[in-house]
Amino acid sequence: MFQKVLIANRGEIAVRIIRTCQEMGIATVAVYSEADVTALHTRLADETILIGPPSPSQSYLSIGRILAAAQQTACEAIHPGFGFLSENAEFAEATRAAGFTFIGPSVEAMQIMGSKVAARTRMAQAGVPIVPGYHAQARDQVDDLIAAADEIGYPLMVKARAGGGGKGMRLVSRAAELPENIEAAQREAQNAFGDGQIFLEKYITNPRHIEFQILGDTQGNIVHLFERECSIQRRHQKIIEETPSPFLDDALRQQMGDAAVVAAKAVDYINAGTIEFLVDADQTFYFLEMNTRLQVEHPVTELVTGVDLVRLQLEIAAGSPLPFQQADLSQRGHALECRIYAEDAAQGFLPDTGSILQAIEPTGPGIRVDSGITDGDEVTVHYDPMLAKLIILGYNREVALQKMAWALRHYVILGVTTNIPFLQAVIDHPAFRRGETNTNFIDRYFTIWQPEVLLAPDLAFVAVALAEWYGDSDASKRLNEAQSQDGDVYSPWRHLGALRFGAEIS
Amino acid sequence: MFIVPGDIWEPYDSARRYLDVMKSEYSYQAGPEAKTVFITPEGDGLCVTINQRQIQVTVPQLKQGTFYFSVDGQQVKATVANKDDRWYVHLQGYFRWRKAQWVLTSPTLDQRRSLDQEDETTSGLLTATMPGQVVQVLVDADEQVVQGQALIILEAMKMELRIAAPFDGVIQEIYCSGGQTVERDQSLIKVAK
Repeated sequence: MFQKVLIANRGEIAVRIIRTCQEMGIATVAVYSEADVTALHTRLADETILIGPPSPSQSYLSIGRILAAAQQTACEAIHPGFGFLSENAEFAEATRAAGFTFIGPSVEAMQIMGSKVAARTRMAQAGVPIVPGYHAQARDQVDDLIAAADEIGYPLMVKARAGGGGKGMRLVSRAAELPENIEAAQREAQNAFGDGQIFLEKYITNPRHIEFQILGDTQGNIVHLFERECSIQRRHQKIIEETPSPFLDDALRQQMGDAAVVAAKAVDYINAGTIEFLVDADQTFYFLEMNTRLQVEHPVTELVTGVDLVRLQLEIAAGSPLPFQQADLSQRGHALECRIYAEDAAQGFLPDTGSILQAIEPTGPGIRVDSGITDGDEVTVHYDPMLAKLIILGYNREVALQKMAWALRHYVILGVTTNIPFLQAVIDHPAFRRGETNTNFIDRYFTIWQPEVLLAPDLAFVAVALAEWYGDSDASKRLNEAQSQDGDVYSPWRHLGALRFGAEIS
Repeated sequence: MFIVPGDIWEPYDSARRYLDVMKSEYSYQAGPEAKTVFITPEGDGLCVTINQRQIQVTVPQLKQGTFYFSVDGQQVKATVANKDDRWYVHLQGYFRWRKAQWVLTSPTLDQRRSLDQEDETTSGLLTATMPGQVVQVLVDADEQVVQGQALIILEAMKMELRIAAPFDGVIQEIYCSGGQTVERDQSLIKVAK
């Protein structure tokens, strides 16, 4: 096992990885930017290295500075976390070239799965169903594209090849609309991304986003650890995830799980990864993409399977075979995760910044908090505003929902506005309770959502006044004096009689 | 307690006035409402007055950042934090409220003085408690409104304030319009009973 590992990340996931390393007796090195000087992850690690100014490109995305930090501290391995450089094949290659173990898959697997075209081609070869689509060639005429579109079927999306994050996409419902949309999409893509290439993809109505966790070891064993339902998304950003998915029955779960393993085998996948599928209302599923890293929502899988994924990542990277086979794995109970963001839902989910004045996590059976913040931390504009993840394990979905509602109600974060009220509203929504989770859920039920306008109750005013009174030394002193009136026989206060202070004499 | 000269309670009035000196006064604003809390030691605990209502409160105990106290016998746990003029409070207890957390601001001295003036909850004339901009006027003249109904949305200090009707009534006059910048104490709207 490694003696020392560098965590090339920040916030909640850096804390998560550091904790597991500590459990395993591995020394940890944290890197941080000038904006994270007092961040929680720096306070937990054994060694810390400042790697640059707040801007990610000069700190957490700087391959050179991170490798320099690893060299300086004599690390053996680097864990990239998620986001930042975790899916950057160049970083993986540079890490290995510099003599460190990269805790993740091979460079080749990252390159193939990192390219939409290459991934789809490989999946098609392996027999994994993919979303029907067509990549426009430079020489294609409009007629060629219309023909390709007819094969795919309508409705379909015209997407920019260089696009991402929901940009450069157009929905086309009929053949007649196609030519103008293609032209417009090409123009937009050229302007936005400098690359006018487009591709056509079947549009799946109200799809569910269901992904499967994969683990592969260096000996070629690959297993799946079942699914995660990630359909509750706002602007393509996940906010609530759960497992098992209310939509899958045992047969479909088995089919999709097998397909996920086939997909991972097709790129000789090693370490942790996730295969994302889109599932149609009639239970047809399609490969969407593979994430060649650990995911934000991994805790829900950990809770229902009892497996520590970060621990396994380290063990796999150190050369150990998987300690279980597919038949040994099962799901038990129901897990839900809510992502806590520093966002003001009442102001269009604008990120909020400020100091965390108080952070008190809810605790109890089945309640897990993966947090990147604690009292005194600063939430700045430089990074993703995710503060923490609240993960619940319940006996079944109903119990998990009740626990989640309780935990959200009891998570105290003072100093910045959080999306907790919004999460409470979603958890409470009848459609969510019924398990009607698809990617249009937020758009459909929460398009214009405002937190309920509730006037602060008298008790809120009283509580703040009491806190101020408690901290107000004069007032407390006066209380002590008043109390001493009864206790101290020699107190001069006892002998004042009708003496009045500052009162009108009537 | 109102003391009339000649009243048999008059000698005890001195004790009351002594306690008046010891009384602490705290004023805050939350959204469209401003309230003052008076705290006076009484026996083993505190007598707290808000909205002319007196409640018995135990002296708060601070444990790990949270205050524990009871109000008229009901246990309350409050976590309070302060930065500049903002007070954040999170309340826990067996409450069936949908919302657990509020932000209060402590008004400036000028604002405190204006709180002592004619109470808008009786006159129906609602004014801007801080300078800002009218985002939207939600009602029309002569419209019937109910207590608590939001009438105007003001934007001030990066906060959105909802000016609410203090009682059931009818909109008598609107003094502002959407987009308008308003000064502190400027009249916004009048509700008549």
